[in-house]
Amino acid sequence: MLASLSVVLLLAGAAFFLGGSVGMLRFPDVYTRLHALTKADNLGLGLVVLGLMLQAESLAAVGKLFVIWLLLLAASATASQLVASWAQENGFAPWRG
Amino acid sequence: MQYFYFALILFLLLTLVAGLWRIRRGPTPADRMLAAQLFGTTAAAILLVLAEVSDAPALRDVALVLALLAAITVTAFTRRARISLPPGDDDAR
Amino acid sequence: MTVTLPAFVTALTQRLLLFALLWWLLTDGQHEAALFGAPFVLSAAVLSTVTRFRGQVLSASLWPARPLALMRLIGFFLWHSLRGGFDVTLRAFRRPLPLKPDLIDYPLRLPPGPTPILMASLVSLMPGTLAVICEGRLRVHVLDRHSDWHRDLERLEQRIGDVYRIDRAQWNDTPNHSDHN
Repeated sequence: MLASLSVVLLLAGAAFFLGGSVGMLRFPDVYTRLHALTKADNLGLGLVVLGLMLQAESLAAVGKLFVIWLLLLAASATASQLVASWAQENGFAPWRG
Repeated sequence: MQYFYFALILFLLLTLVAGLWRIRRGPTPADRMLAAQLFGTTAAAILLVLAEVSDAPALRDVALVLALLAAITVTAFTRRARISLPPGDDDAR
Repeated sequence: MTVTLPAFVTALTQRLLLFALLWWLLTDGQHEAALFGAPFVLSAAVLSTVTRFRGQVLSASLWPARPLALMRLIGFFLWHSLRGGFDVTLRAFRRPLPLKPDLIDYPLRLPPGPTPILMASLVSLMPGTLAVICEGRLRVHVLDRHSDWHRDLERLEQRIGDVYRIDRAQWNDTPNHSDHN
């Protein structure tokens, strides 16, 4: 039961990683690509981490997975903001559809 | 179960490679910088799954280090690379 | 703010617990590692507490004033980041690309300090919005300028204000007021 729930979560996570990469390839400019990367990949990671937590061998391992996820969440939110403001400062105008 | 994990890792690697194509294409340095972020999250996910399947918890520490390094790389890039490039310049850098 | 002994002890205990937990997680709960960790957990907690009660770092604390409101903010954030991931993934697969991006200046009502930074970080994980810069105002890149991104940002801002007991009556006029926790 727990194992199958874990598999479902891992598959869902993989789907979002795919979505992030497709967006990264198809989206027209840095800003929109940042959207894809930040949101889809972090959700994918969150689901993968959740799936792995269900299989983890100890409570400490569960906590560690959670801390890694939190850290990556914070890192990637900050990183996306830094890259976006860098692009703005250096005069890269956003694409407008 | 083992096969499922390996298929998952392979799939994640493929999405990582797809992302790498964007790094090659650019066109702006900021686009290339997305590589660090992509590596941070996707590679961390791969390592975490690998830690589970090969029963090597130490790989989780590698994921942790990768996450930290990715953050530092992006920060360093945005601090140091202040050269203004004309927008749309495909072969810059 | 005057430093009272109970306040100091509370802050120290919080840090001791937090750092001990982190050490325990990092070492995968091994008992032998606790021997090495204990002195460092202790000294880190003491140093951190002393620093907090000294100098001006005090007003820049991100410690939540209302734990219950924090839980609501976390719930709100998790739900919306789930929505955000779905939204951007669906857009990535559509043909033609359903994008109408724009740069928008969002007038922040949160007082200057750490809360706008927290807001900017959370904005990037909300559906369709990406924080660009944050200096008194928040510049946001939106994927779809016709969506109701404005409502989402307002609600997020309110939730953050609730966590830090920022008075909504004061939101629009005096921007410079520090927290009182």
